[in-house]
Amino acid sequence: MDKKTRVVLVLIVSFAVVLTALQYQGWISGVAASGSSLMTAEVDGELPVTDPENVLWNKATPIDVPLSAQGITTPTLRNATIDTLEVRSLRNDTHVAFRITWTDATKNNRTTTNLEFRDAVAIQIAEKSSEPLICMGASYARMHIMQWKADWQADIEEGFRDLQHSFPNFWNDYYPYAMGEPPYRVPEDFSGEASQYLVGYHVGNPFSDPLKVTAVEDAVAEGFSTIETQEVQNAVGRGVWQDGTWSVVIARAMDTGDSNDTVIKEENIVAFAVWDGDGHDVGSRKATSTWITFRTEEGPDYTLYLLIILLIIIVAVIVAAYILSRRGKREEEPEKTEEKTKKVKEEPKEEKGSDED
Amino acid sequence: MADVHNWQLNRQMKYQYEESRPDKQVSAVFDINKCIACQTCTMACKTTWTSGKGQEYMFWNSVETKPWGSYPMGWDVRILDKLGPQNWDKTTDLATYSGKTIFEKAPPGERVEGWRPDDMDWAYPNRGEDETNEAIDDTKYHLTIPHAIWNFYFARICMHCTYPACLAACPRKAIYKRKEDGIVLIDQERCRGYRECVRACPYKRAMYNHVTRTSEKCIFCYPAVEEGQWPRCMRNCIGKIRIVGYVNKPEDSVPDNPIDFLVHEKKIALPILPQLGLEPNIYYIPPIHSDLKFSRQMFGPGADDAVQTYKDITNGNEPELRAVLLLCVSTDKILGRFELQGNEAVGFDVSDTEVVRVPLKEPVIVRDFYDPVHDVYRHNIT
Ligand code: SF4
Ligand code: SF4
Repeated sequence: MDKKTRVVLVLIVSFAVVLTALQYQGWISGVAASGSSLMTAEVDGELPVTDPENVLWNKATPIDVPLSAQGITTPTLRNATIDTLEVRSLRNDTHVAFRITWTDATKNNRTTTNLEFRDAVAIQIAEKSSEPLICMGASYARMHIMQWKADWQADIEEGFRDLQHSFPNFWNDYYPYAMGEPPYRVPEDFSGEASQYLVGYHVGNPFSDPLKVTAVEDAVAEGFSTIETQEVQNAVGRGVWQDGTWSVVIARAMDTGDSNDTVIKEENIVAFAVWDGDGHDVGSRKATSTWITFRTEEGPDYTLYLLIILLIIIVAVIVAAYILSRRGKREEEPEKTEEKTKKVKEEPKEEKGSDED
Repeated sequence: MADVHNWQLNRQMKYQYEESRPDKQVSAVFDINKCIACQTCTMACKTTWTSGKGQEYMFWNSVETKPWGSYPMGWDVRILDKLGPQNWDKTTDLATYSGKTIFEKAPPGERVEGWRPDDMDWAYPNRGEDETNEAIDDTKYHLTIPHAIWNFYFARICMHCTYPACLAACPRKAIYKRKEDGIVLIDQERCRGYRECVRACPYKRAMYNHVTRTSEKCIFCYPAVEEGQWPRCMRNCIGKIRIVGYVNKPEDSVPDNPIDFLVHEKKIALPILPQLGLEPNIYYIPPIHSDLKFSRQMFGPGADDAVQTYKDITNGNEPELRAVLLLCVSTDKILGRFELQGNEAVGFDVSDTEVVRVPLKEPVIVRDFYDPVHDVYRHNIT
């Protein structure tokens, strides 16, 4: 091995050792760094839980979260029309908020007619686990899910989207037991016996409730088909659609005291799902992300130490390389002298020999 | 997907869940030859179950004029189009279906082949009422059977299928089939309005409520069934086309059970589009005057024989069949058993108590036009 090769080899090995050491320490990330962990930024005072456009969001470092079409359980999503989310997180002493932004050319915030499906986004939060966690949890892994729904928000902000809003000229002059005047308003004119004819509403299905209080459903799941709206609703949030982009905030107290909610803390894992109403995404027809580590604490600032260590290593490598090359030279010189002497001594023999040949 | 047995196809087929038949399966037979399209059934259901806000467009019972009528628009042709070739092997005792069912035809990532009707598709519940298969042509002779020019009235409700597509498609498991009677229900507390059932049901009997934003469907008037009574659409049928009972698998057929008798013993009552693979539990006596090609597609390969057997009743060859069909809407009690006693058809409820007795031939009494006792002229003398 010549001198040059040796130096290059030493440099490569040292670099690999340093990289591995740093990765092992968690000071730098491995490949595909972006998006594998979400750092929440701490702010003083109130979080902008209903304001996705608040300047405070600039404090949070965004990550890009790639999505793929849900394909584990049927019915699947054939093509993910939304393939990336940008996610930021803010927290204060008690609460944490996420702002999720994505491109969506159409605003779908109605579910009144047969082919209207909502735009929605969900975040699921779980404890870090040694078990393999799949989408929607499993019997051993209860998932806390918060889903923001564009139509729920529209019902709150613009009033319940009733039949007459979707079919303006429809007329029906009678509903059993309803009080009031056509077209009869839901739910005011349907109290008592009349509510029995709005079955979902009558049995308390939260999807049928015309008077929603939050656009974010606080739910829990233990695997596919098991999602349940929680008794106590702790999540809030709001979305804004502008120029083909949804920006949605979902927020909650870190510790709600509700046993159905995961306590949000360092090293929780989070995953996202999004539904494009225009593409008739609904239920399991959704685009989902992989798990992302949620971080609340920045470690001590290692940058300086890191630079010093790197500098020491580089200097050490250079010195080592220099020493090696010097030693190489020294080793080379005596060899040459010896050879010369040999040559001189052997000269006559050489000549003779050739004669003999 | 599990392997299940569908006797209407005479073969195993793929289904989302394992075979799990109810202890009893409610069923009904509709004699198409007697329906007059009065829509009394439609209104009996409408006023009972779907008169709420958000249900305006819903008819859990509808009556369409075939071949053109369809509610929602094109429900039958659209799924048949997607299904591909639908051949039957008639060399076996019960014909064997060699095509694909909607479960077997499901594209990758789907549980069922289906489609979603839009609001306009639901907007013509009685389109084509009384229209004939083609324009009436003076030169055609109409008094032979089958008629050259024909139509028939087709009353449809949810089939409370043995292999419901609605139930298979619901990722939320909000739909269940009751163990005690096989009635298929959508749990209104669990439904999240995904409308997968609406997409999947080929008969299009699951419908989306605009106001409650959940899907709803025919409940076979289960509160009545629990009391041993017929559903509203059945007991109000003016044409007396319907009979309600429980159906067994062919190998368990009980000959004096009126439904088993019509379905298995006489094979006169047939399922709608059995090739779809749902093993629907409402059976139809096909129209005897219509094009058999159409009936074969709609009711399967048994259509020809069923029509022949029906004609035999009028020829006086099938007294028991006549007896059963006379029990249609003669009672509102679910029938467990029937008997032909001399000149009378007798029906017994599920606890084997006699609930109805009908003469095979009604006696005719003709009274005088003038009533001397009251010194009036009678409006009705027979
Ligand atoms: S007819 Fe349709 S709605 Fe009724 S059980 Fe069958 S699949 Fe379900
Ligand atoms: S009530 Fe009977 S006769 Fe009248 S339309 Fe309905 S099924 Fe036909």
